[in-house]
Amino acid sequence: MIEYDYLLERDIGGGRIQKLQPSSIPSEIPNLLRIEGPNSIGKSTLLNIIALGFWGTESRKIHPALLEKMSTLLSSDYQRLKFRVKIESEKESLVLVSNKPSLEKKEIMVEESVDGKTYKPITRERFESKYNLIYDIASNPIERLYDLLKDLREEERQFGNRFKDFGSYLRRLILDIDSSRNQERLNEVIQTINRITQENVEIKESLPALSHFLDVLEINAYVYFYYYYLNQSETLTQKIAEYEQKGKSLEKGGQKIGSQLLKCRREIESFRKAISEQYQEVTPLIKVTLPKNQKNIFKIWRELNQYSTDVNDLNAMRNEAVHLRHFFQIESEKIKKESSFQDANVLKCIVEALQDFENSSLVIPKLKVTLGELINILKEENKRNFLLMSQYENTVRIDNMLGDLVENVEKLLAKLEELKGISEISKKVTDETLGTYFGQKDEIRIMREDLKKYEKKCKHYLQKCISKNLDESKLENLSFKEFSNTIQSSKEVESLLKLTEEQVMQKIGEIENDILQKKRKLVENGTVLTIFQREKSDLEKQEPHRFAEYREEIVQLLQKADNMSQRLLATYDDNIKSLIEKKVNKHEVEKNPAKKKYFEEISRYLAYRIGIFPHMEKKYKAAAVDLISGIIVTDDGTIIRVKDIGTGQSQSAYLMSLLNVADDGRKIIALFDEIAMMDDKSLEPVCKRIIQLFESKRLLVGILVQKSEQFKLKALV
Amino acid sequence: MKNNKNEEYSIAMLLQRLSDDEIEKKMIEFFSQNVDEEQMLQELLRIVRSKKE
Repeated sequence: MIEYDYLLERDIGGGRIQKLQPSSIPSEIPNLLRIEGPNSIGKSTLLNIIALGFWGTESRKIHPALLEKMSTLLSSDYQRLKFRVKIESEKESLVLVSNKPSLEKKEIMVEESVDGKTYKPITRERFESKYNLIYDIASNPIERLYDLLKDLREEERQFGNRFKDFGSYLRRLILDIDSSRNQERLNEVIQTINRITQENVEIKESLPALSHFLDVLEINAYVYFYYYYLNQSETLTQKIAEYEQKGKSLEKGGQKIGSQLLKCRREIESFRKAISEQYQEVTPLIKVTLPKNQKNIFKIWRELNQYSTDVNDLNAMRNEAVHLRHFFQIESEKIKKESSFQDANVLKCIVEALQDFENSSLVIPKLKVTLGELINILKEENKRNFLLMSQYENTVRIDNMLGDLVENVEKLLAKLEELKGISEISKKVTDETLGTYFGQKDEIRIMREDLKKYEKKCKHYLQKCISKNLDESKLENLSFKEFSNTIQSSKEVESLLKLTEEQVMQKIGEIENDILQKKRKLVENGTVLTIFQREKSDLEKQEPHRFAEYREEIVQLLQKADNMSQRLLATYDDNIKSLIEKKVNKHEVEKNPAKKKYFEEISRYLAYRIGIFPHMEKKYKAAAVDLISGIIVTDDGTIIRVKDIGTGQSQSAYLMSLLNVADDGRKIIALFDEIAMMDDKSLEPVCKRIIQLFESKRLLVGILVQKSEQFKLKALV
Repeated sequence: MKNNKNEEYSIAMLLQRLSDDEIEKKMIEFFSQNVDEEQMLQELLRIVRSKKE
C-alpha cells in the first residue's frame, strides 16, 4: 500500500495561487498499479513526488527530463511543495516514509521501519544500498538502449571506486601495520643490534692488542732505522773523509810529479842548450883540425841535429863524438910522439916557465943575452912550432870538448830517460790516479748527498723515537744493541724488521689505518646502534597490528585492487564511453582480444537486460545486443535489426531491460512514465516481469503511467 | 550466446567474466554483496593463504 499526500502551491499570476492536491488519484493506492488518464490529473506529479522523496533528484540514472521536472517541483520561484509518502510492503513488514513537511524548507526526512513499528532515519547511502529506484520515461526507446550503457558505465565506475576505496583501505592498513609494532622488524632490529654490539666488542677487544703491537713495531722500527741511518751517516762521513784525504794525497802527488817534470824538462833544455853550444863550438874546430882525408867523417858530424832531444839523434851524436874523439886522441898521440912536438913542447914549457921573467934584464952568462931577450928568442922559436902545437892543442881541445859533449849527451839521455819515467808516472797519475781522484770527487759529492739523506732520515727517526717517549740521550749514547735491550720486542716484530724500510713503514701505515678504521667503525656503529635502539624502543612500545603477519598478502591484494580500479575506471570506462558515443571501430575491436571480450560481455549483458521482447507478432529472447552493429541476436539465432523494432515493442524491450537487473539484494521501486506507445501485447512482458519481481519480494513498488482519454486505475495483482 | 531462462546476469558477473583472477573475482563478488571491508579482507586473506598452502 502506498499512502501519499501533497500540497503544491503554484503562482499563476495576478497574486493568485493555485493549490494542487491529490484528487482524481486516491491517496491510497496499491503497490503495483497501472494508471491511465488525461493530462493534469496528477499522474506524473505522483511519480515525481515518490522519486524525489527518495533522492531521485540525485540519481545519475534518471532521465534528464524527469530530473528537471523534479527539480522544478523542489526549487522554483513560482511553486512550493510539501508532501508525505508512505510505502508499505505488501509482502513483508517493511515501511518507507518520506516527508517534506514544509513548503518553504527543502528538507526531506526519510525513515525506514523493518518491523512495521519502529522507524529509523535512513541516509541516502543506506537507501541506495538497500533500494533500487528506477524512474524512467519510455520515450525514444531505441536510443534509450544506449542509456542502459550509461547505467552500466555508472555501475562500472561504482565498482571501480569500490576497488579504489578498498585499495585506500589496504594502503591505510599497510601504513598502520608499518607504524605499528612489527615483530619481524623488531626481530631484525634486535638481531642487528646484537650483531653490531658483538662487532663492537670484538673491535674493542682487538684494538688494545693491535695498538700495542703497533707501538712495539713503531718503537723497534724507529730505533732500528735511527741506528741504521746513524751508522750509515757515520760510515759515510768516515768514507768521505778518507776519500777527501786520498784526494789531497792525489793532489800532492800530482803537484810533485809536475815539479819533477818541470825540473827534468829544464835540465834537458839546459843539456840540450849546452850540447848545442858545444857542438857549435867544436864543429868549426873539427872542421879545421880534421885532415882532409877525413872530411867524410865531418860530413856525417855536420849532418847531426844539434837541437834534437831524440834519443836516436843523441845516440848518433854521442857515437860520432866518441868516434871523433877516438880519432883525435890517436892524432894527439901521434903528435906527441913526434920529436919536433917534444922540442916545441919543451920550448913551450920553458917559455911558460919563464913567462914571469919576460921583462927581466938578467944577462944569462955565456949567452950574453938577458933573460927577457932569451924569453923572446924562445917565444919566437916557439912561434915556429905554433901550427904543430896548435894542431896538438886543437886535437886535445876537440877531445876534451867532445868528451864534455859526450858527457852532456849521456846526461841528456839519462835525463830523457828520467823524463820518460816521470812522464809515465805523470801519465799514470793523469789517467788513473787523477781519474780515481776525480771519480772519488764525484763519489764524494754523491756520498755527501746520500749523507744528507741519511742525516735527514736519522733526524726523522730520532724525532719519531722521541715521539714514542724514548730517551734521546740514551739514543745518542748507547749502541743499537744496548738500546735494543731496553725496549720490548717480539718475534713477529723482529721478522717484520727483516723487511725493507718501505715495507716496514707500509706495514705500520696499514696497522694505523686498520686501527683508524676500527675506531671509525666504533663511532659509526655507535650512531647506528643509537638509531636501532631508538627504533627498537619505539617498536617495543607499539602494539602489534592484528594484520601484521599478513602484510605481504595485503600488499598483493592492494596490487590487485589497484589493477582492477585502473581497469574499471580507465580501460573499461574508455571502452563503454566509445560505445555510448558510437565511436567504436569494429575492425579495431576485432584486433584487440581484450576489447572484443569486453564488448561481447556488454552485448550479453544488454541481452539479459532486454530479455523477452515482442517483435512482429512474436516474442523473442535476446541472446546478444550488438550496439556496434545495431542488431539483436535472439536465442534461436534470429538476427533482428534494432531499427526494425516497432516503437511500442522497443519501449517494451527497454522497460524490460530496466527491470531485468540481477538480484543484488536491493528492493526495486519502479516508476515508468509515458508508456503510451505500448499496446497490451507489448506491455504484457513488462507487467509480468513486475509481478514476478514483486512476488519474489524483489520489487516494492511498480507504477506504470500512461496517457489516455479516460481515467483508469488498474492494479497489476 | 544462449541465455538460460533462470540465469541472472549482473554487472558483477559481467566484470567477473572479464577477469581471470580468482581473487579479483572474489573481490567483485564481495563488492556486489556490500560486504564490510574488514570482513572482505579477512576472507580474501584466508583465500590467499589457503592458495599458498
